[in-house]
This record gives sequence, structure tokens and C-alpha cells, in this order.
Amino acid sequence: MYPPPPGSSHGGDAGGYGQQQQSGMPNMAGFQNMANLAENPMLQSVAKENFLQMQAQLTNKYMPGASSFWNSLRYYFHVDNRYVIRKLGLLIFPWRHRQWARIRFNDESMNNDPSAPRTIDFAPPIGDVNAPDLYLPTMASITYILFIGLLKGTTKSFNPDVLQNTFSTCTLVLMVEIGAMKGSLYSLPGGADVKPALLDMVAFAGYKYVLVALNLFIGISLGRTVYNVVMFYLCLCMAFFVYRTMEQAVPAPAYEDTGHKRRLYFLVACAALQFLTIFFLGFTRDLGETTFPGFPSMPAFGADDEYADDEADV
Amino acid sequence: MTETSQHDAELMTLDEPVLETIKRDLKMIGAKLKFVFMPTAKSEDTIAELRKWDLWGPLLFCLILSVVLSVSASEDQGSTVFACVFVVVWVGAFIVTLNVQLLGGKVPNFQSVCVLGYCICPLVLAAVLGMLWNNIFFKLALVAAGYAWAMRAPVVFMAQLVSEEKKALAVFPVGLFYLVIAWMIVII
Repeated sequence: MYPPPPGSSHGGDAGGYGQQQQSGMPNMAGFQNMANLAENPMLQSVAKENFLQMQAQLTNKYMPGASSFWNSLRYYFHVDNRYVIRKLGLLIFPWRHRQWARIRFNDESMNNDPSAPRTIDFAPPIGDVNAPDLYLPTMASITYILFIGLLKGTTKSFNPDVLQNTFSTCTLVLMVEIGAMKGSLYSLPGGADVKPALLDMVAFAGYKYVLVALNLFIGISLGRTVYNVVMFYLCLCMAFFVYRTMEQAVPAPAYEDTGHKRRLYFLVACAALQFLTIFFLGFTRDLGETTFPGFPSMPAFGADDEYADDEADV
Repeated sequence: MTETSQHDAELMTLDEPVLETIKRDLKMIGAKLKFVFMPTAKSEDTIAELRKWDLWGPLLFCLILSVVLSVSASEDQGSTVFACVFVVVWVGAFIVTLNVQLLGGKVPNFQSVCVLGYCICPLVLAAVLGMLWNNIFFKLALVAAGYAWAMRAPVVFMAQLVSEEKKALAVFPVGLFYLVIAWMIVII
């Protein structure tokens, strides 16, 4: 039981949940006070605060990393319209971008308190177009899953499992890719600054969903040939993007020669991996051969199914 | 004496006739539907009304939608469709809420879920009316109109939660969410 809030004037309150307090409650008057609890707005807000506090305490007790995880997640969602548009332009035309280094600022408070948790000292996405964010990958992967469902719907092969299967495929591909990248990072010489944060890498790998979703949209509207051509182009874009980004994220070693070569192999392997994953994610047999409009003829929507069932009953 | 009778009345809602309870809840749902159907009426009442979230309305609309779609689905897929629609509506609403909170909007979970659930109402109407005539174009037109109408209210709601330069980012998942529901109404 948490202590009653300071400065409260009611004698018999216990946080607005109607629970009896053990000590010192006058009989009728206290009971009437408690009946009016539900109507007192000040008490309600205080009760809400206490409840949230208790909730936070319980969460910290049973899930120790939850609140710090949530806070670090907030960094990746600190975006705005301008950033999203610029990032989309960067993903689709990466060769036009010149400055790939992320902006960092020196966090002076870190020097004073070495036991403080390590904070990210890069600029957040809202101030730096090169910073990774998780908004775009998340939205793009959801859009991709929905487009896959739409595509399957146009060829009458949709059932609710499709969405779930696509989601598992996406998760699996992401995990395999991140695992491979993390694993190969261990083979590179260098200390902790060689390894970018896990969520950073999730973001970098997740940007391909933007391209795959876009590709699928183009494929649905314009047909299979355009789809294949654009897929090849987008693979090149993503490979280039990942190469440049990881080049910044994994700094060159200061003096080792073998370190340089290994780093180069790592970067090229990351770029090549994008080809594999984009092809895997974008592979679909359901696209029509037609160009504009790309939707197959109307029966695909299932409008004829009703009548087919009626005839089968005879 | 009046105090005791007042607190008696407060505590005795358990004893009131069922019709009274249902009427009160329906009035509550009706008050919120005013915001859904006229989102630009920015009177203080509607905004205050929204703060008092409840989940009866969203549950009602979700159930109506699930039942309508599972009835018009094919025989063997009825229950799958029901489950799918139910899960998509609730999980989708929670994901959209999570997104708004991560973008910096300070809204309680359930309030946002409540608003999103209420705004499904035009799509539910479209689904119910679509059962009348099984023409694909009729359904498409109905659902398109329902979708456009359903998007008006959340845009206004989200606009007051996040700053101007994040508004499109908060509205996009809402658009996707209602698009999924609209598309399910069309194909099933």
C-alpha cells in the first residue's frame, strides 16, 4: 500500500479506490467523505498520479530494463515531417547525398559521473538526416505486410494467415541479417566504438522495407516487368546506402593494415546481403503480367464466389 | 440527510433497472459519436467528452463489424474472419496509440484506443449497408466514402496531440489502419 499523498485534506481517503483505511476513521462522516471521492477531481488526479507511480514501480520491479528501453526507444522516434521526407529522398537517391557522417555532440555531464548510464551522444533524427530512426522501418514494414496481403487478395489466394506469415518472415529476415552483421563485427579489430548500437543496426537494416514496400506498390500498379527493373535499381540503392552508412558507423582502424581489408570485406558483405534480402522479401509469384492497370479482372475480388457456391448446392 | 441520499444514489447503480444502465451507456456512446460525425465542431463539450474514455463503443462497433463480415464470408472461413477482424481492430488501435506516444504525444493509452474505436463507425455503417447489394462497385464506393469519413475525426484528434511538423507522421498509421479495415470489408 502506498502512502497517502502529501497535503491532502481529507481524513479518510486512500487514493480514491474506495478502500478502507485502518486507522482513525470517524464513522458516518468518514464514510460520506469516501462516497464523494469519485466526484472530487483533485483527488482523482492525485489518485491517477499515484496509480501511475505504482505502475512504474511494479514495472521496474518485474521488468528491470523496461523504462530505460522505452527511453532509448524515444530517441529513435524523435522525428518530424521534414526528416521523414529527406530520409525518403536519401533512400531512393542515395548517390546525391554527400555528407554521411552523423552529428555528435560531446556530452559534458558524462565526464562528471562515470557511473551514469551511457547516453547516446549522437544528434537525434530530428536534427540530423543521417541519424537512424525506427519510425520509417516500422511503418514501412507494416505497409509492406499490408501490400502483400493486398496482392494476395487480388489473386484470390488471401487468407488471414498470410498477414501473420509475412510478419514472421520479416522478423526472421531481420533477425538473421542483424545476427550476421553483429557476428561479423566481432571479427573486426577495435573496441566498443567499432560496434554500433543494436537498435541502430535494426534501423539501418529496416530501411529496406521502405524500398520493398515502394517496389511492391509500383509492381501492383504497373506490372511485373517494371517491378523487376525497379527492384534491381532499389537493390543497388540499398546496397550503396548500407555501405556508406556502415562505413560511418564502423570507423577505420587507426594503424592496422589487416583491419582495413577486413573492414572493407565486411562493408561489401553487408551491401551484398541487401541484394539477397530484398530479393527474398520481394519475391512473389502473384504479380500480373499486365502493365497499367495492374489489377487482374474483377472475378479476382471474389464477386463470383457467391454464385458458384449456390450452384454447387444443387 | 441529503448527503446520505446522494451517496445512496451514487452507490446504488448496481440496483437500477438494466434498461436504465443500457440507456445511460447508449447516451454516452451517442455523445462521443457526435465528435465522430462532426469533427470540426470544436466545442469544449466534445473535447471534454473525449477525455472521459470508455471502451463500450469500440467494443460494440468491433463486434458488429466482425459479425457482419463473418456472416458474409464463405462457410469455412466464418470464424477465422471473425477472429481476424477482432484482433486487427484492437491490436491495430494499440499499435497506432503506441506510435503516437513514441512520437511525443501525451495521450493515455485507452483514450486514444477509444477515439480510434469510435471512428470505425462510418466503416461499420458501410459494411452493414454493403450487405444489401452484392455488387463490387457498390461496395467499393460505400467503403471509399466510409473511409474518407472515418479519417476526418482522427486527423483532428491527432492534430491536437502532436506538434504541426509531426502531424503527418501520426496520421499515416491511422490511415493504414483504416485502410486495412476498409479493404477487409471489400474483399470479404
